[in-house]
This record gives sequence, structure tokens and C-alpha cells, in this order.
Amino acid sequence: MNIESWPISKLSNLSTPFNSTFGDPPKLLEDSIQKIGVIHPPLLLTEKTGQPILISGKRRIEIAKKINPHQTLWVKSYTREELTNLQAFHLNLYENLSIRKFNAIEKSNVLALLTNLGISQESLQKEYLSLLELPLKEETPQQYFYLQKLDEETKQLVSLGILQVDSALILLKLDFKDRSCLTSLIQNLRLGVNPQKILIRLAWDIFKKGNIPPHELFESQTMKNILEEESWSTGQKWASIEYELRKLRYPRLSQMEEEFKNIKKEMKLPPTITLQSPPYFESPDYALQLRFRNLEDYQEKLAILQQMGNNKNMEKLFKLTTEYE
Amino acid sequence: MSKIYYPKHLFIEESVREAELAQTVLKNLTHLTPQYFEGQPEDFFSNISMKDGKEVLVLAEKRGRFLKPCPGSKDSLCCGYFILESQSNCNYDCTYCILQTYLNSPPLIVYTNLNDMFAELNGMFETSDKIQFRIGTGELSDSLSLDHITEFSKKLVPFFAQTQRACVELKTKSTQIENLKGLDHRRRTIVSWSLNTPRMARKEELKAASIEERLEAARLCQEWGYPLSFHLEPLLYYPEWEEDYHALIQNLFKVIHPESIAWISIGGLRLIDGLKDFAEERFPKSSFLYEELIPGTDGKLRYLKVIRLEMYRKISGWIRECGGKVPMYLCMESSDLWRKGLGYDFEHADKADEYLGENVFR
Repeated sequence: MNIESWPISKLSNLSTPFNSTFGDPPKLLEDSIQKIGVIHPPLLLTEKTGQPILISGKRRIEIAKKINPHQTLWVKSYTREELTNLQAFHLNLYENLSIRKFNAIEKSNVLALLTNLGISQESLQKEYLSLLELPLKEETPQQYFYLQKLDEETKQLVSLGILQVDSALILLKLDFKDRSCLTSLIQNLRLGVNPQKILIRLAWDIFKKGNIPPHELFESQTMKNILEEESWSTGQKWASIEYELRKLRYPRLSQMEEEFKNIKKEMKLPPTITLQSPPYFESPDYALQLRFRNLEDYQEKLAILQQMGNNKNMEKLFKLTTEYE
Repeated sequence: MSKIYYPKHLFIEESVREAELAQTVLKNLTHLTPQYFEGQPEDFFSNISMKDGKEVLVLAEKRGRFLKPCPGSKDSLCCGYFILESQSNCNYDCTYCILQTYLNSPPLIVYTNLNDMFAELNGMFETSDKIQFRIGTGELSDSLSLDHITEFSKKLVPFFAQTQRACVELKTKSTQIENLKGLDHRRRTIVSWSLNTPRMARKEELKAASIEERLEAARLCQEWGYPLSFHLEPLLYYPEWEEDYHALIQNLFKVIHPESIAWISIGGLRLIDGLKDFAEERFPKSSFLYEELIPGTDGKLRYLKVIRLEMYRKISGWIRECGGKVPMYLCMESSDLWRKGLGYDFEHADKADEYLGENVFR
């Protein structure tokens, strides 16, 4: 290995076959180079043909070039006799891993590069998943390979952590138009991890069930009205969208929930008495909660409950879990 | 016409190389060169995929018990059934199959230490105060689809024929019944078919025999005097379900006399945790995953209760119309649903068990 001085214009043109970085460089790196220049020299590998390639340092070179395109940089230069491709890639990988965390797309790039370098699935599982802080599951490498197929825009969302990996994997099954429709919604409504999972899962299931692609789903007047309602917050808009999607995905369940809500409304229970339906109307047991502050209050509430027993709405309530017509 | 299954690879655990069942398999798979291994198959084959696993037949020794009570499901009324784990995994590729995520090991495993199995069964019959045992081999595998290779039925049927208060149910989606012909079964073997509508069988029960073929095989077993049972499981909900299941039941009773039937089970689709995602990945064209499936009290996904209830009421009604008093039960459902769906329930599993054994033991 030699230490050499290279003009930055030459360095920036070198190919970078071991590069796995994705996304903009951290601000801290820019600030640091701006202030005191490149501290860690980029690594170079010269092929037997004399052709040099860049092992690591692409971002440092780009930033330094922006600051002064005429400067020279010190580099560590290896020869092909000194390094195999895998060793060169390891230099890149460990150099990066020692100073920062990789985003999901970079992890995907690492696994893809390792596979191209001939690393077996078994070795990926045993040696690299924990290194990349990925779940130690059989399906993990395959899932992360799939991320390679994402378009740049969606990759960007995944790399920034705006879109979760499992959500992105479902999006991959959709065409570009549908994918864009859903990623725009996620961004516009600023949906967190769980809501975006719910959105994508519901949209996907509705597509599979009724063959309604997401872009058509969100072109419906109902959805447009929700999205264009200026007086609503993004949270309110999401709640309404979720409600509409659930109605399409679970029509019978939504209908039962609606009926239950109406029956409860007709019962006119005081706020201190709460009636709850069984989860998913699976168990036959309804739940009733009573709040009271003294004996008098307690007796009053009991009288209300007594009257409830004679209320016709109670019959409707019990029919809800047994009738199907 | 369904294809008869033959594995592409045969692995034999070193310690069972001389077992009688291993010799039978070798005789029936002369085209394969066996490979011998040491250790437990679950460890040895854990890295192969589910799809590849179906091409591999493993002969091994069963460690632990063969006979286990059916685990049932939380909050369900059980029927007191026992599971005999003589094999593990199945050569068919049903899209909804629980084994895809339930088993640790993808290959088909046949256990060869039959003497241990029979000794365990005899021990149980001698020491238990249970009135009767209804036992089945079709929970973790198809009971008959490998029978042309293992000839297991030739051992099992005579064994149960000697018992006073036990019967064995051989549950299948195959037509592999040749070995049953001429066996002295003494009505202690119930030959059983899982049935679905022909439309769903074609779409979701990949590689299995057609419904017509299954019914023809059942008709032959009826001729040979075997009691029969049928499992309408998993019921699948789709737009044409009513006409399809109605036609299925009418066709069943055109071929099978109600007196030949020991019992019929009915059970809606159930998906354990993770199976939906797994099945979706393996069978992207399957549409049954997108109906109204909701988590039950046991954590399994099921159709909404009102949907199940509607199916149970209608289907049990059609069975009553065509099959009179043939015993029916709901699999992995609560007493509440038995009562509302079938019109009756039982205080506990033993009573349900007795009711279902009526056509076999009395």
C-alpha cells in the first residue's frame, strides 16, 4: 500500500464498484471537510492493467471537489496483488460501519454486492445480517434484495425511514402509478409507521379482493372530498380515509360496527355508562362499564340499567351477533 | 386425473436402515438411490424450502410420543380426538395449509419404528379409563397419499381391527386406496376424505385428487365395507359458495349412503399467525386470503362470526336434508357456534366424542 497525492478531478472520475452508499451525505461530514479538509484518505485499488478504481471515499471526494475543484488529496493506494475484490469491499464496508449506521437501501446494496462477489446465502445469514443489524431470519436477504427493484423516489423514502421496509415490499407488487399514489399519500398525510402499514395493507387487500387499483381507489369522489377538505387536519383526513378503506375491506364488519354505534346512540346512555361490543363481534359477550361516585349515584345508574333491560334496542344488540341475513 | 406422488430424493436415518418399513419403501422406490444420514431430520433438513421439501422423503425414527390429544383451540368445544403422528408433512400443496408454517422441517418424514408406535397404543388402551378412542393420522400429513410407497395401511388396519374400543381415521385427499381392498378391517378403520367444492379444490388444493376422484374412491371403500367420514374443511367463502357447497353435498349423498358415514366435520377457514403472509407469497393468485378474516380469541384468523354462522347453518341444513341423522361436528369452534350453527352442543369433549363414535362403536 502506498500513500499518494492525486488531483481531485481525476479521483472524482474513478469507478466505484464497491460503493453501497445511498442518500445525501450527512451535514456533519460537509461541515467537517469545509472546516479542516479530508481527514481520512480515500482508498484506491490499481488493477493489473493499471486502471485505478475507488474502494472508498466517494462522498469525501465529491464534497472536497465542490469546495475546491483544483486541490489534491492524499489517498491510500493498493495494488491488485494486495487485495481481492472481497477484501477491497470489506475495507469499504468496515470503514463506513465504524462511523455511521446504514439505511435500509444501503443494507440492501451491501447484501447485493456481497452476493455478486460470490458470498453464499448461508454466509450472508451467518456473518453479515447481524453486522448490518438486520433480523436473523431466513427470508431477510431475499426481502432486502427486493428493495433493489424500487424506483429512486421510493428508495429515497425508505432510506430516510419515512417508508418502512415491509411496507415497501408490498408496494413493489404494485405498478408505478399505484406506488406513487400511495407514497404521495404517506408523505402528504405525514403518516407514521403504523398508519402507513395500515394504508398499504388495506389498499393492497382491496386491490386483490375487488381488483380496484389504489390510484382508482383514491380517485373516487369520497376520497377526493376527504383529501381536499381544507378545514381538516392531516390526522382527521387519515382517520376518514382509514374508515372508508375498512368499509371496503371489511364490509360486513363495518356494517355491524355502524349498526352497533346507532343502537348505542338510540339507547341514550349517560356518559358514565359505557357499552362495548365484543372484539370483532366474535365472542357473544358485550361489556358494560359503570362509573359512580356515591350510593345515590350508584342507585340511579342501576335504575338506568334496569330500564335498559326493557329497551327494544337490547334485542337489536343481541341479534347483531347471531343474525346473518 | 391426479398424479401418483413419487419423491425425487430418499433419505434414510442410519439407525432405521434395517426397519421393515424402510425395506418396504426401498422395494417400492427402486428408481431412487437412498442417502443415509445420522441425527434428527428436523436439524438435517431445516435449510431447504417448503417447495423443495416436498420432493424429499425421509425415513426416520420417531423420538417421543406418537399419540397426542388434538390440541383443539382456545374457547372451542373439542371432540376428544387423538392424533397419531406416524408421518409429518404432506406432498400436496394446498394454498391454505397450516403445515406450511406449522412444521419445522420441510421434507416428508415417515416414522419407521412401528413397533414402538403399536406398543404405545396398546399401553394407552390398557391403562386409560376412556370409553373409546377416535384416532387419526391425517393431522400432520395426508394419511394415504404415500400408502403405495409405505404400505402403512396394511399394518395399521389389522392392528385397529383387533381393538375393542379404538378406531383409526385415515384422512386423505388422494385416491390411494388399493392397499385397503381385502383387509380385514372389522369397521375399526374409517376412511375419510377432505372435501371442498370442485371450484376451490381445483384452485386451492394443488396436486390433490379431484373431488370426483375422491368421491369415486370413497364409493369403492363403501363397497369394501369401511365406515367413511368427510371433512368439509376449510369452508371457503366466495361469491358462489352457496350453490357450490349445496351441489357438493347433493353429489356426496348421490354416491354415499348416510349409513356408511361415521361423521362429517365442518370448519371454516383458519389461518395461524404468519400463514396469510406466507401463503400470499407462495400463491399470489389465491384470492381467499382477502375475504373478511378477523383474529379470533385464539389468535387465528377466521371469517367474521356471522359469516361462519351463515355457512354452518346452511351447510348443516343441507347435510340433514340429504343425510338424515349423520353425526356432524364443528371443528375448533365454540359451544355457542355449535348451538347456533348445528342446533346442539355438548357439555364437554367426552360427550361429543361419544356422539361421534355412535356409528362406529355401537
